[in-house]
Amino acid sequence: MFRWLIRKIFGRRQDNPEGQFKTRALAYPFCTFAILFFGFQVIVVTMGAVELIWPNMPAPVPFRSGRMVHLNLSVFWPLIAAMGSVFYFFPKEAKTELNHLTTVRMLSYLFPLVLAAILTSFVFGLTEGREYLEAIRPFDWAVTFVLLLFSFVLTTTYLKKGVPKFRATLLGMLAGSWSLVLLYLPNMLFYAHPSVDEAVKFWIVHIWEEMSMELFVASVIAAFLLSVTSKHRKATETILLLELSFISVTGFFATSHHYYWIGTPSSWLWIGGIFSTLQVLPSLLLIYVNVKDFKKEEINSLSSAEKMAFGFIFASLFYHAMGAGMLGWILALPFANRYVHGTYLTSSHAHFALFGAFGFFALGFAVYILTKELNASPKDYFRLWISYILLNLGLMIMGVALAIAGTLQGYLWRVLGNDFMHTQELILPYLIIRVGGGVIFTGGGVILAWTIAKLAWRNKRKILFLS
Amino acid sequence: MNKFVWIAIIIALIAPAIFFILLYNSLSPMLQEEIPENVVVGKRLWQSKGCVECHTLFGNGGYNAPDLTKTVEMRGKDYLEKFFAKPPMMRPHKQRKHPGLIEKEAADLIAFLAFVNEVPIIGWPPEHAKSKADNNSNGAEK
Ligand code: HEC
Ligand code: HEM
Ligand code: HEM
Ligand SMILES: [Fe+2]
Repeated sequence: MFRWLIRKIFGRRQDNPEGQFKTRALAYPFCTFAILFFGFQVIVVTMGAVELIWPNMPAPVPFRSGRMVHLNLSVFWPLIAAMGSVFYFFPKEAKTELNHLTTVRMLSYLFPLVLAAILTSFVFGLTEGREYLEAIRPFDWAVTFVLLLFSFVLTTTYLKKGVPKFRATLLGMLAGSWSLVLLYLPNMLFYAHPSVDEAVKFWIVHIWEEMSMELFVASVIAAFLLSVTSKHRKATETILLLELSFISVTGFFATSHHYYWIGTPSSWLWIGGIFSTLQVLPSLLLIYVNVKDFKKEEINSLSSAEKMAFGFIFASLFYHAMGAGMLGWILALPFANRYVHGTYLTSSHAHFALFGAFGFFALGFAVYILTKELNASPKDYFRLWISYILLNLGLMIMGVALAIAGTLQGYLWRVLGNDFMHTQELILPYLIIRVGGGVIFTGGGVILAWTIAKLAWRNKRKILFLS
Repeated sequence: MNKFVWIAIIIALIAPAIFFILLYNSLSPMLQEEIPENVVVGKRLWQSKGCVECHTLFGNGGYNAPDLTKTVEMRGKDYLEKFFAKPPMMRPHKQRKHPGLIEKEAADLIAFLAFVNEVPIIGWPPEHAKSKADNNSNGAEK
């Protein structure tokens, strides 16, 4: 009985040293849904941004609901894609098939379903009222369940016999998955004291993104490089290990850059300033991993899907260094933060970092997995490159316009002491330019989502039945 | 190689431990603080109405409406009571009014905002910004 249970949970070892791992295919639905959600997001959001510059527009949903939809999508679709990529690379790194195939299949439909339900509830005005964590209690349980299943599948697969236990890629993915669960749980409680509430909220808004997601990004990119280039495993893994340690230290301690003005003692200004400066290091290391003994000739021998993936990875690394690293660092210096805290400069950073660094990563791998495995046509690749250019261009315009708006806002409102609403009128031109960027961005997003949707539709049997 | 892995794992476990101990240390006075019932009701109201999607508290939230951390000090409770009872047009909207609150709700919410106002924050928001806002006109007076 006990043996049976153990076997049920941990599965049998299936040797498959070199061949293709069948369970990789479980990643397809995750990737497809993530891209569809992204396509939906850009459309909804452009309407929200138009409402900010043309307030009397007749809007189908209140701004409040629209913003909740936007924020939750921006956290969850990159996570869905990250899950897909982890499931895709885990078997190869673990040298064994994934466990619990039915669970993974169920998960790939359950998670999008939960997200859709959460978004629907926002339209009806249901909210927990905490930024980024607006889902009401029952949905919190659903999200926890989803994250637990994810961690469970990875952990039991990892514990199988014959899995190399010391592989940094596997450890990074595992640590990422469990930290998601552990940090989400305390966020299901109600905190009466507003300062405590803020502090706990940033375990998601900051640690989820800047630690858990970073762990996935670093490990998945390393696994990808090891599988398509001739990089030396031992050297790559050593750097990855260094990077993972760095991410976990700075990921936690740099949370302090959100604790400057919420009623916590001023010692947090120091912790935040110092660790946020150190936080730039992991993103530089990530670039180093990629560029180190990268051979130019290798690019030419790559397949179209791999070239595409490199394009997205380089975009992601660029925004990592620029939008997350540099801009984040400026924001994190206490004397600068004092004036620009809670202005559009934060919004600029949020878009550069969350979309620039993670969005490009998530889209890149979702697109890579689908185009590679589903045999995309040259025409598809052409469309995807067009969308890639539009997304970059749109994001640049949007982010720079927001950064100017935010800097002006900080100066006019926080330094000169103008009335907030008056400042708002003065920065309107930049918000209009932002919408212009947003429209270009949306164009790219729609082309991308449409191309992938058609590709997925052509291969629906493969995605739905793995055949 | 395996030695490095163990070191990495230990670092990854110690870092959060130290971080959470430091944080707990900073937050424990607040966790022990007796919070009046109406403040808690006001906070729940703030959450269920989703005010944070437009406004910021402590500078965190939506960016297209004023920060409310020091509103009670700047505006006074009477002003706020009137504001919620007869909400003005939301600048720059021409048709849409600010969400209103009934008297009891307004009282609880103002109690909550007053509590937020009393949370000691060193050095923020920048002082001159606070004092000058007093003299500015606002939608409610129109
Ligand atoms: C759709 C966005 C939106 C939502 C939702 C919203 N507000 Fe506002 N609020 C505004 C805007 C815009 C102003 C500025 C109006 C003006 O000055 O013309 C404002 C002004 C205020 C003011 C006056 C601030 C001052 O110093 O003059 C208070 C107080 C306030 N809101 C409280 C709330 C509360 C409490 C809620 C939740 C029930 C809420 N608001 C929900 C947009 C919003
Ligand atoms: C890719 C990684 C990152 C992501 C996804 C990210 C995302 C975000 C988001 C979404 C916010 C807005 C939070 C809110 O609305 O309350 C934010 C704020 C902030 N981020 Fe980042 N960030 C990243 C990296 C960094 C780095 C590396 C730094 C510092 C070196 C940094 C410093 C800050 C600071 C200081 C704020 C607060 C701004 C304010 O006071 O209003 N971020 N970040
Ligand atoms: C068409 C493209 C986009 C447009 C026009 C747009 C517009 C907006 C608007 C209007 C807000 C509300 C700002 C406010 O409070 O006033 C916002 C916030 C935000 N958006 Fe976007 N967005 C776009 C794409 C994205 C994408 C793709 C992501 C991430 C995947 C993203 C992540 C965020 C985040 C994290 C915030 C909260 C910022 C903060 O509170 O600091 N956005 N965006
Ligand atoms: Fe952060």
